[in-house]
Amino acid sequence: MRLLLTIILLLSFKLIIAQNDTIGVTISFKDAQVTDVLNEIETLTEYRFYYVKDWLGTTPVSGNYQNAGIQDVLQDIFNGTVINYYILKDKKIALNRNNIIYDELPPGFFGHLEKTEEVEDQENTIANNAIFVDKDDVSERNEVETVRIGKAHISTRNRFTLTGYVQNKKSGEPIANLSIVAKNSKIGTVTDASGFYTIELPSGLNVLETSSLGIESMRKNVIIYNDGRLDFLLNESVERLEEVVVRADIAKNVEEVAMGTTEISSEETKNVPVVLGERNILKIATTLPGISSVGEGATGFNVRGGNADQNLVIMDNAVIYNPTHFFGIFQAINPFTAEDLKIYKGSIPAEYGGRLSSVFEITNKDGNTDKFAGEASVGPVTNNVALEIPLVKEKSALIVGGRSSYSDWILRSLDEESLKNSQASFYDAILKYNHKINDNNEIRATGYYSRDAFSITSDSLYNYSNRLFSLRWSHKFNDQNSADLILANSQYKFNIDFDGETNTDFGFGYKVNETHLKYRMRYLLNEKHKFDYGISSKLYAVNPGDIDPEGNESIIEPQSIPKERALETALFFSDTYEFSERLLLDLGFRYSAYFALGASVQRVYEDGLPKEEGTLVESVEYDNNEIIKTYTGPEVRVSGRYFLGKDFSIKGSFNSTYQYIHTLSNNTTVSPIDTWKLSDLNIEPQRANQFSLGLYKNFDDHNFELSLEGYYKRSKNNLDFKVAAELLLNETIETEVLQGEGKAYGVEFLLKKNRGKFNGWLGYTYSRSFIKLDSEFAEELVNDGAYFPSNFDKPHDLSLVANYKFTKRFSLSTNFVYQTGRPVTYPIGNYTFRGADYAFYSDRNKFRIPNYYRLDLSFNVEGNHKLEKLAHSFWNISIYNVLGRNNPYSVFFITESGEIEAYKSSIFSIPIPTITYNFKF
Amino acid sequence: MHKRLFHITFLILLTNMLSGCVESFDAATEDFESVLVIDALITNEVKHQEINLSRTFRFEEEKAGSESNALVKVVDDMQNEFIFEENNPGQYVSVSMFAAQPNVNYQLSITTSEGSIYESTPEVLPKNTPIDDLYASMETNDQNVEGVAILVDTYDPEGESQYYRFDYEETYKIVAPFWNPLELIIENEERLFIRPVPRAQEEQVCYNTVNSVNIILGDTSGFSEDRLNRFEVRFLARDNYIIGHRYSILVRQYVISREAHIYYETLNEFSGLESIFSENQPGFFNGNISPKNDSKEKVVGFFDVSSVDEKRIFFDHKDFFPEDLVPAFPFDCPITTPTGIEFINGVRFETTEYWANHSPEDASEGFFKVVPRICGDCTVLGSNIVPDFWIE
Repeated sequence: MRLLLTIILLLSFKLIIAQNDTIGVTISFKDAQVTDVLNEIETLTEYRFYYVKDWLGTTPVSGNYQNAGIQDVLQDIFNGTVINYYILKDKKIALNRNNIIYDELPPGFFGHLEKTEEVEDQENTIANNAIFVDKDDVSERNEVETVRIGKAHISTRNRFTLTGYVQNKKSGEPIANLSIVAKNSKIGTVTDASGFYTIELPSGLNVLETSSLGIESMRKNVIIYNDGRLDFLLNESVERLEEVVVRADIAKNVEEVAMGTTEISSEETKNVPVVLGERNILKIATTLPGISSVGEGATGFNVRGGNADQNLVIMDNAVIYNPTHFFGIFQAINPFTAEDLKIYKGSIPAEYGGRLSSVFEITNKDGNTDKFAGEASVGPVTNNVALEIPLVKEKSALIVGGRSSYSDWILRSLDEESLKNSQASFYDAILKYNHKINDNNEIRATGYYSRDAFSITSDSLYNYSNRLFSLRWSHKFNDQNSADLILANSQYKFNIDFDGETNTDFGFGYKVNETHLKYRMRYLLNEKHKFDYGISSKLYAVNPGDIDPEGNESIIEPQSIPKERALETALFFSDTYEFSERLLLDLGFRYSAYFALGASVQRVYEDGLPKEEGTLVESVEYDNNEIIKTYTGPEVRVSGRYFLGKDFSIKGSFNSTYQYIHTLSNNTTVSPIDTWKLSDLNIEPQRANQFSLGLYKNFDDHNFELSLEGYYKRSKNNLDFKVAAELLLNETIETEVLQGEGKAYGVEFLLKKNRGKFNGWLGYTYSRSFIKLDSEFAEELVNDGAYFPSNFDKPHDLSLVANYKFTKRFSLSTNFVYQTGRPVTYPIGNYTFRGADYAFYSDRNKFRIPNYYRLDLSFNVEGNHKLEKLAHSFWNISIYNVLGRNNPYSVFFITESGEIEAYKSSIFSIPIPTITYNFKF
Repeated sequence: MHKRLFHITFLILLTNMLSGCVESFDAATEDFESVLVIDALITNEVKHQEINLSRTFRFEEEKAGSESNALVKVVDDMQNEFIFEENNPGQYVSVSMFAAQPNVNYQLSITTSEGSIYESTPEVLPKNTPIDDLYASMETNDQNVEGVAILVDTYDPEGESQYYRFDYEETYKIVAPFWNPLELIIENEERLFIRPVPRAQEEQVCYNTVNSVNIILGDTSGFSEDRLNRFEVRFLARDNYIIGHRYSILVRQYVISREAHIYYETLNEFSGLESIFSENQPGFFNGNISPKNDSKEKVVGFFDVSSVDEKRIFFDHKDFFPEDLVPAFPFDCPITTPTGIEFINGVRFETTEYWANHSPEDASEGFFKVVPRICGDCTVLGSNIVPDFWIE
C-alpha cells in the first residue's frame, strides 16, 4: 500500500489541504529535525506518517502550536520544501516529494479548479476539496494532479463508476464531445451534449486524460475505490489553429463500437480552403471516405453508394430537408452556431430510422450562460453574425445567428449582359435556447429558417425554404435512468412564380411537413449493460403540388394534387453490452411501422403489368385517417468491437434500414425543385442491408489514427423513373416510377494525424455502386435489366486535407481531391428527324466524364491571443482550384439550328481567390 | 405545358456567374448502334404524303444513311391501303394523293429489305383548328433583346385541340450592298482582256427561303380554355439582316395528339439547353412505332397524323424601326484593287464583283475596285427569282 501511494504521490505535485477530520495538535519544537517532529506528533496523536526518510532533509524546523490543526502544523514544517502531504483516512498522512522536474519548468499555471466528492459512504469520506493556485494565465503544459475517490477497501467490485460534469472555465458552458480516456486501461468515454460523462474504471490508479478540440488537454491521476464524481473545469486551448478537423475524442477510433461514424467540428473547419470563403462542413464531409457528391454543383450527398435522398439530415433533432443554399454550393447551416456534424454511415443507432444510407446529425452550440459573446464574418458571398446571450446566469442562454447573401448585388455589379435579369439570394437564421432548470432537468429549443430565391430569366422566380423547430427536455431520474423527450417539426417547400409576357402567369407550390415526437430513455443497468430504448413517431403531410393562375388575365387552370399523409412509428431498443474487456457489443433493434393515411384516392393496377392508364383496374377512395396501406419491418442494428491489441481493434456490423419517403427526380443530380413522395399503395418502401467490417489502429499516443473499413450493401425498391417522366403535377406518379435493386460495396481507408504542427488526413475509397431496373416490359427496362453504374459511382476517391502551422498565428491549409469521373449517359449516335439532327441515347451511364482533381490552398492568420483584446480576429485567404483545372461536370448534346453541338460544362474552372474576415467578441 | 415552364434553362448564365465554363467539343462515337429512324407525318391536306426512313449515324459521319427498298404503307380502318414508293433514297412518297380524314384510324406499316416489320399504333386525325391570327409585333425578349416577334393566336372554343405544333418557312429579300449594274468578264481568254459589261442576270435583289428546324410546341392542357394567346413562333432581333428589307413568314399550325406532344416534348427536352445543376436523365424513348419481330429492338421516330392550317404575313424593317438604318450586312466587304493573277482569278472564279474604276497610283494597284462576290451578287445568298407568293 505504501509503495503504491508513493508511486502515486511521486506523480503529484501540489498541495492538498484536507478540510475535515482534524484533531487538535499541541506541540512545541525548536531547531528540530523533521523526522523527530513527526515522531512526536505520532506519539501525541493518532496520526501516522508514511514517508521516505531521505526526502525530509536535515533542515531544522521550529514551531509552537496550541491545539492547532494538523494542516497548520504541517504547512509550516514543509513550507519552503518540496514535500507535499496527504491526509488519508484513518489519520494516516502520506508525505511525498515533489516531482523534481517541476522545479525546472517555467512558472506554469494550473488552471483546473476541481472538486471531487464521494457519492457513497459519506461517513468515511475524506473529500479532497483541493484548491490550486490559479494564476488565470495560459499555459501550454499541463501538470498531473491526483485525486482520490473512495478509499481502498476490500470489495467484491473491481470497477467503479465515475461521473462528472465538464465546463469551460472561461465561459461556463458545458463541454460536449470531450473525450476522457483512462490511459492505462484503454477505457474511454465522451461527454454528452450537456457536458456530463460516465466512465467505468478499474479500482486503483487510473490516469485520465481529457482531450477535445479547442480545449486544453488535461491529465489526472485518479485513484478510485468507490463510485464517485469528478468535475472538470477546463481552459480553452490557445492552440486552436493546430488542428484542422479532428475528432474530439482521441481514442474513439479504436474504442467505440460503432463503425463508419465521423464527426466534424464546425469551428475547426475554418482553416480548410473552401469556395468563395464560405465555411462548409458538409463539403468537408465529402473529403472523408464513403461520402461523396455527384459534383461541385450537386445538391445532396451519396453515402456508400446510396441515393441522395437516403440521408437523414437532422439539426438539433429536427429533419432538415435541404441543408444547402444555392444548388449545394454553400451550406445552409450557420458555421458559428453549429457545434459539430456527426455522420453515421455504417452502424446507424437504433434510435434513428427512415432513411437507408446515413444519418447526418448537426448539433448547434448551447449558448454561453455566463458571458455575452459573439462572432461575425464578412466574406464575398455572405455576411454572418452570431450572438450568445446569457439570460439567467449559469442557467439559461440564447444563441442567435443570421446569415445573408449579397450575391444579388454581385450579379448586378457584373458587367455581363446575360446576367442582368438573374438574381440569386439566400439567408438563414437560427435561434437556440438552452435552460438548465436543475441538475436533473434541462430544456433546449431550436428554431431555424432558411430561404433561397433565384431567377435566371426575367419571367420566373424560384424559391425554396426550410423551417424547423425542435424542443428537447432532458430529464435525469436517477444515476441510472435518464430520458429525453423530443418534439420537432420540419417543413420544406418551394415555389415557382411565373410572370411572363403572355396570359399564362402562374404560381406553383410544393410543401412537405413532418411532426416528430420521440421519447428516448437510457438505463445504465450495470457496468456490462447500458440500454437505450424508446419510441418515435412521425406524422407526414405532403402537398405534392398546387398551381394557381396569377393576375386577372391568366388563363391557367388551377390544379391541386391531393395531399398525402402518413404516420411512421418505431420502437427501438439497444443494449451496449460489454461482454469482456476486449469485446464490446451494441445490440440494436428497431421495429418500424408505416401507415399511409387517407383521405386519398388510390389506383389499383392489374397485377404483373406495367402501371399505366390501360392497366388501371379501379380507383379506391379512402376516408380521412383511414389506413390505406401498412408496411412494417424489423431493422437490425448490430455492431461489435474486439480489441486485438493495444489501440488496435476489429469491428463488424450489420445494419438494416427502411425508407418510406422518397424524392422524385428525373435529373441525374438533385435539384431544389425535386419533390418528396410518401410510400402508398403502389410505391413500396425502400429497404437496405449493409454488412461492414473494419480494422482500427491508433499510433503514437493517438496522434495517428488508421482505419480500414469494408462494406457490402444491398437495397431494394430504389426509386427510379421512366425516361422523361413527368413528375410535377402528376396525379398518377406510380405510372412513371420504376423500383429497382441496388448493390454497393467498397473499401475505405483513412489515416489521420491529429496533433502537431503538421496535421490533417488522407482518405481513399474504392467503391462501386450499381442499380438494376429489370422488367418483362421494354418500357420499364433499363440497360436490358442488368446492373449498371449509378450516377454517383466513382470508384476511386482520394482526399488529402493537410494543415501546417508555422507559428501560433500563421498556418497554411491545403485540400486535394481526386475522383474517377462520374458516369453519364452518352449518345451512341445521332439521327435526323424533321430536318434536324438529334442525339440518340440508349443505355444509361455507359460513359464517364474525365477524372476530377482539384487543389485548394488557404492561408490563415489568427489575430493575436491577448485576452484583453476586444475582439479576436481571424483572416482566411484561400484559393479554390489553384491548378485552374477545368473539371467537366456534365456533358450534353444540344440541337442548334438543326445541328448537334456537344458541350461539356464545368462549374469552377479557374482559380477562385477569396478573403474572409472573422472576428469574435 | 408544365414541363416546358418548369424546365430550368439557365445553364450559361449561372455558369458565367460561377466562373465555370461551357465549351463545345467534338463528340466521338462510343458503342455505335444502328437503328431505324422513321419520320412520318400525314396531314389533312390532299397531296402526295411523304415518309422518310433513315438510320442512326456516327458523330464522325456527315449525314444519316437512308433506309432503302422498304415496303411502306398506311392502312386505314376501312382497309384502304396507301402505298408509298421510294422517290429518292430513304424518301417514300404516296403513289396517290390523299388527305387524312377525320374519325378514321391510320396505321403505318413498314417492312424493311431485311424483312423486319414495324407497325405504328392506329392514329386518328385530330380536330382541325385554324390559326386565329398571325402577326408580327415589336417585343423585347427574355434576354432584353429588342426585335420582332412572330406571334400566333389560336382558339378552340370546344377545347379539344390542346396540343399544337408549329413550323414555319421564312422568306426574306436580300439586297446586295455593293451591287453595281456592271460586272467584269474575261473577254479574250488568250490576251486576258478584262472589262466591265452589264450584268447578264438579276443579281441585286434576291430571295431566300428557309424552313424551321426546331420543334415548336404549344400546349393549352393546363389552361382554363383552349387558347394560345400571343404565342411566339419566331423571334428576330432588330439587327438581324434577314429582316433588313422585306420579310415573309408562312406559319403552319398542326393540331397533334397528346402522344405526339409527349414525344416531341421529350425530343426537345433532351436536345435543348440543360440546366447545369439539374441535368435530365436522358435515355431511349419510344414513339408510337414498335418492332414486330423482336420486341426488344429499338426504333426511333413517330407516325404523326395531324391537321394543319397555315397563314402568311409580310413586313418591312421600316414598319417597325423607321428610324433605323438597314441592319449591318453580316459579311465583310472590303474594297480592293487587286492586280495580276489575283485579279484575274477573282474574275475567272467569280469570287469578286466589280465596284468601280480605279486610277492606280503605282504598280501595286489595279484598274478596278472590286468587292467579294457575296457583297455584290445576291445569288450567293438566295435566288433571284421572285417567289410566287411574294407581295411587295
